[in-house]
Amino acid sequence: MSTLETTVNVVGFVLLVMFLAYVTLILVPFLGRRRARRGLAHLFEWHMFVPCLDEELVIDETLTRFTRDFPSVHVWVIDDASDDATPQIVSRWASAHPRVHLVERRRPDARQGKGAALNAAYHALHAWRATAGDELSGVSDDRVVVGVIDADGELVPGALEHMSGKDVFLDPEVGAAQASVAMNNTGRKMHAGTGVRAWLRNARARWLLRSQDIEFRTTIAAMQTLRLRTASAGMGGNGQFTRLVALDAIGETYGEPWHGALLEDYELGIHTMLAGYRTRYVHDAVVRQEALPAMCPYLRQRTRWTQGGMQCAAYAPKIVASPGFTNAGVVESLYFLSIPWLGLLGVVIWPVIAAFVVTGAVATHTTATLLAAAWWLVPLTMLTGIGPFVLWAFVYRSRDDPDSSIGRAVVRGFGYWLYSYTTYPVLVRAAGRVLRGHSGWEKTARVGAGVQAAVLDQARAVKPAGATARSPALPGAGGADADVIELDAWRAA
Amino acid sequence: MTAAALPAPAHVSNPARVLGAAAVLGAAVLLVARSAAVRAAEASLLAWVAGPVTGGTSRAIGDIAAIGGGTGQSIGVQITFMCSTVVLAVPLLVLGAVTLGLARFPVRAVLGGLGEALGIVLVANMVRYAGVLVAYQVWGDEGFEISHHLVGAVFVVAAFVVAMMRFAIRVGRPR
Repeated sequence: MSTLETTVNVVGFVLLVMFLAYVTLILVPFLGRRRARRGLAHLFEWHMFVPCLDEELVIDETLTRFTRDFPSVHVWVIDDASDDATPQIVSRWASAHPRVHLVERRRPDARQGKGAALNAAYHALHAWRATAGDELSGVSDDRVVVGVIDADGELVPGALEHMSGKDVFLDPEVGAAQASVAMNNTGRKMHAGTGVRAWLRNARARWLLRSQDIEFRTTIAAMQTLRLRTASAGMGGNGQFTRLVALDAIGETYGEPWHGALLEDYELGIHTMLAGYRTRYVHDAVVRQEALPAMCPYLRQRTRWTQGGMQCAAYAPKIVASPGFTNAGVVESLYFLSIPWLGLLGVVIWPVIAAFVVTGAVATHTTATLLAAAWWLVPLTMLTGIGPFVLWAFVYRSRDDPDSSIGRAVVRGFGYWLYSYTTYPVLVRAAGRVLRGHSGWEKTARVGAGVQAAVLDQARAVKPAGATARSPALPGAGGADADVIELDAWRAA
Repeated sequence: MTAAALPAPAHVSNPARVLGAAAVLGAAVLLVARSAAVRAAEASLLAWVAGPVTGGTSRAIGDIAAIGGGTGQSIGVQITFMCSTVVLAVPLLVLGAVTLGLARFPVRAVLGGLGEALGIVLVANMVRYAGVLVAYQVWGDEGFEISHHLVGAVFVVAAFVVAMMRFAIRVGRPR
């Protein structure tokens, strides 16, 4: 065996072991997780930020749910210069419900990313609180909590009680908490029609939808559960809750609470910990969101997230140096931030190992002797490479879909294993974008739109900025960091 | 609103830690450079451990551990580089060196974790070697194939996983 082959095999072996070690470290606490104790939601003042860009298909239903299920919650809908009827729909709600607020953004300040939209709502909230008088709940400032939810997000009733628990916001050291995420469109038939073609399209959609649900309900939930022990829970885009005073502390240090990283939500969690607060993951508080049923928008979304993860690696030195992180939190955070880079190494290593195995086998064996000599590769690969994914499918079955059969769990496990390979093109594309310095992204279109992702056209002349009618004066977001919006390269291919 | 009162870790590694990290890295390089000697030592250790179990005389000839001498069933197993504890120890040493270089983590925790992890992989690999030898002696080539490629591989992967986890857990403990 040459030195190159030996080196590649050893690196591959180490990557495999790191993967299995991490799976074990996250699985064990997740299986032993105890339900969180609920608290009293009325001890807090809740504000939900809902950033919107062309959300006319979903925002009405979202506001119906909020006003019905969480009547005491203030909902701040940030319209980021939508081209559809979003602002009109929300205006009607705001006129009829004192706890629904519209934050209107106009170009050129609008469409600077989700972080800028959230910052606008943050300033609007402060301006409102300064003059709200009797509308305030009377709680102390440190009991004011801001949540962020997608325009199509469904916060499951009971979530705020879980967020109010002794280990969450009732603990003054906790600055932010993340709800668990579930998909709300698994099992739905996405394509009309009959025949083999329609069946295949629906089967592919079902596989993608279910795999995303398994991912969020098991693997990601388990990672977050480990982070309860390492005190390094990460924030996500949907279902993040932050104490307003923590946002203030972050704003004082970094200028604004939310920033421009593509993974601005994870970045918020890092900033919260750097500010000296703890973060928590609350599995029993659930927010449901739409999974993506088509591969192109899914890959685009994951490339954005992965690129954001790569950007956040720049925080590693600050994390290591910060007293706000525990030692275990540093270890976990460093590993998590290294995952995209280790994955990129795997993109190179695994095909090379496969090539070595195949060329070596072909050179020295006939088919019969090859099968006799390398039979062990199959069970070993199944155990170490596929087994963990099948295991997650069984965990999913026991926790989230107990009525499904064992056979279905096995099939889903293999499906989840195949789904993991979507990481490879995502990693390559994300790395390419990082190297080329591209950071602009179009928003993923709603599935309900029935169309592929909308392409924002900032090349068109923007409308002149106008005064906002309902919201207090907002600080200009500034165009200095305006990103070039990239056309959908996946469709162009 | 309070921030957790934690001791501020040092921002810059002191020279002693850097030297220590370099020494650990140097040990990794030395293991690779002298892997033949390491494998010969492993073969000697294996022969010494397996001898009482397998019967007959046992000895090491370079990186080959031979057992069952004088019984008419003398067999030998060569410890190749890819099977050697070097492959398990070097990544742990590299990880240990990087961690030692960060003043964040207590020296005692890093070295203790590294020692424990190295001990786990060494013992596990010895157990694997012994298992392969016994399986070869009892079941011949088929026993060797199954114990070496499948059972042994799974066993050492599991041991390496445990070693990495123990290192991470010890390093991650509060000061």
